[in-house]
Amino acid sequence: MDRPPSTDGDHSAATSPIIVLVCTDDIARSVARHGFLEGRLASPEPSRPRPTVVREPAAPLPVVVQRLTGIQPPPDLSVPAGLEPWLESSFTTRIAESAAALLVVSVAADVLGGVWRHRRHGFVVAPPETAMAPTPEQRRWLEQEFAPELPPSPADIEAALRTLAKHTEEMGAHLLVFNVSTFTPDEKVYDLAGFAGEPLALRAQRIDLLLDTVAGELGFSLVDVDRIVAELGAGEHVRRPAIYSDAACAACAEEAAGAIVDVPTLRQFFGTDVMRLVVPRYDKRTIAGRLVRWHRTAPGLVQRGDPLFDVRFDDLSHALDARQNSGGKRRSLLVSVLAAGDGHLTDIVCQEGDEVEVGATVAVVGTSPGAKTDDLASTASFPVGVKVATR
Amino acid sequence: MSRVSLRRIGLRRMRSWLGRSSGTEQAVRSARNAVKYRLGKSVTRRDFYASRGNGSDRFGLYGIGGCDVLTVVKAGPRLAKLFPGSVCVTAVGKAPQTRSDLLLQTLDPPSPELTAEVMERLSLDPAYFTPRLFEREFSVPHQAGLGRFPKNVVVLSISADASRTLYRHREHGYLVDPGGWWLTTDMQAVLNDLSSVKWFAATFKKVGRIGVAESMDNFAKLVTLVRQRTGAFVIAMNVLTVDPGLTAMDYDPIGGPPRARRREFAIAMAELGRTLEFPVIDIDRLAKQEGISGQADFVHYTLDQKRLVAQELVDVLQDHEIIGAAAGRRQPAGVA
Repeated sequence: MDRPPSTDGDHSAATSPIIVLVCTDDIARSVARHGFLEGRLASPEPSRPRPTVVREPAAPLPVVVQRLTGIQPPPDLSVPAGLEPWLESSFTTRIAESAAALLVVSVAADVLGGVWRHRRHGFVVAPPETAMAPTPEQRRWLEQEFAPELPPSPADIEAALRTLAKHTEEMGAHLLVFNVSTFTPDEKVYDLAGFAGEPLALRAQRIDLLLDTVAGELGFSLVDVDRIVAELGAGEHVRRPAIYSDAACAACAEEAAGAIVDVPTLRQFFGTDVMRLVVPRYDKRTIAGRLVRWHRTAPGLVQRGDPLFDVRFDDLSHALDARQNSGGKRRSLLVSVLAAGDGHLTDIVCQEGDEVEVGATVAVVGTSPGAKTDDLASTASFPVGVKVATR
Repeated sequence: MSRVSLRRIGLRRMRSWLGRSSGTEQAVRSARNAVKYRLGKSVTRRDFYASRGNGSDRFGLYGIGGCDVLTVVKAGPRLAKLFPGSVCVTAVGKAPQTRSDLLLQTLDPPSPELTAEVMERLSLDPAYFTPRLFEREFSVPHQAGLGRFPKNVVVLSISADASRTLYRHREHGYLVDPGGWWLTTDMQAVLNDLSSVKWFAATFKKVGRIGVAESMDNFAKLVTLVRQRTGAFVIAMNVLTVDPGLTAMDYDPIGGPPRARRREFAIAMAELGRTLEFPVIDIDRLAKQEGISGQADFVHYTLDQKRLVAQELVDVLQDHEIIGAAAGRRQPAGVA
């Protein structure tokens, strides 16, 4: 969060969708890093306006909410030279524009600290250290005008998320939230009885739990930074609380890109109007299996929540302990794949009984009944959810 | 041909005649381990560690929970270096037997007449309804030659509470977890004869997974009772909260991620530890620190992760002067 984010993008393209990235350190160094998303958004059809990627300064969620509300700083506020852009950034956002398609935020700033509140007017700002290094004179003014608040409670964060989700839904935009790694270097607490306050890891755990709990209800997508960093090894890839290595940020960027591809208003910019329905990976053990049942026929409409097909994963070869626990026999896993979006099933590629690998295309789904493509391999994947039918 | 090769061939022959883990095999292993132990060599298996030291002092660490609790066995060699007497670390790593309400049920168990049929049909462990957690001493199952050890330390785990579903006997009211009894039998035989499934459905009623608040109430009772009855120092373990390899990002169609429940348990156990003043080993932190890509699920850990957990366990015991405090006490040694 010590990196000053910039605002860029093609402002002349009035009809192009807008992607707003609130650049806390995790987002700034992953999905918002220069050129990453722009490279993924290359549309095969030049006539289509490309989405505008907007990078906005890092801010805790209450400040992001304030940006959305459209209030302005008091006109009588005399701001020292050099602080105007910082103050302005607490009130402006392009997510409020009608073309907004996606807002990407992180809870990292909320886990690590609170907002600063103006003593007289009550508006909130991101702590200035997150965006700049104030001079002594500026610091004196800041301390005179603003009071630092305690880090927000999970209830405060939930309230902010509800407001964000409501606003983005009203605008037809999608919300993507990064959670935070619960691993905190140099913090090893096993006796809470003698610990004053709350360890940062426990606070992060509470906030991640909140995100897990409300994500489905509020309809936002979640980038599970906690898992991604843990897969790589948090001991090596967490530099400071909520500050990750380049490799971890790159992995988060890939995961976020996968979620952005699935945003309905952005899907067309990642290829054509056709998507591949692929076999999802349930966990590390699921590598290959057999498609045992289709719940839908082609052509036909599929809607969010519809069961699509079942796959039985027989080769759980990585599950050594599972084999031990089952008396030396391999266990299989029957996974039911559900639609996580709407579309038209136009073509079924794999039939019942076919051997399929994770990532294999089993069907083609279009945004309209007649959607076609000549290059299926380069299309996005249709969003799905998974449910274990039997173990 | 080396002694090891001969032993393997002999083991294969025996298993081909008598089946895996037969009574004979267990008796042979037990006798062999007892001889090794008497000769002063350490004995390490998946679920226990024992070493014979100088003098008559004994130090025992007893872990009970899901498969995750087997990690405590790795602390055995480290503890043996710190304790001059004999050391035994054992872990009952069986999730179907160790949900908190099942453990409390062992204090007021149903009579054997009421459970005989159920134990036979579900292949339950003979110790299923016995209050082994609350006894002052323990011995390693099938290892009588090692003798009995005091429960200086008891390690509890939340993994069974976080994951297991229980069933209540419709007539007699006691709880069971059938576990994976049907997995170890021939699947074709099970499918051809569904009478056992029908019997189970007619005899038991599903009570589902335990709520976090109820679970913590049970753990509060367990910790208090274990301290009172055994004098042991109690430690708890949480579990990994994330799911290795799970890349789902939208949870609406699947009703929320399974990790949320484990996060709830981890937070609640930390708070209970603060209230009742017992340490909680943060397995979640240690597993993530080492990297979870080698894990098949949230409860089975890699060797490197187990080493980290073992070191943390030893650190906790040293910080609380448990390993030092137990030395020189008369048997059975207890740590209030």
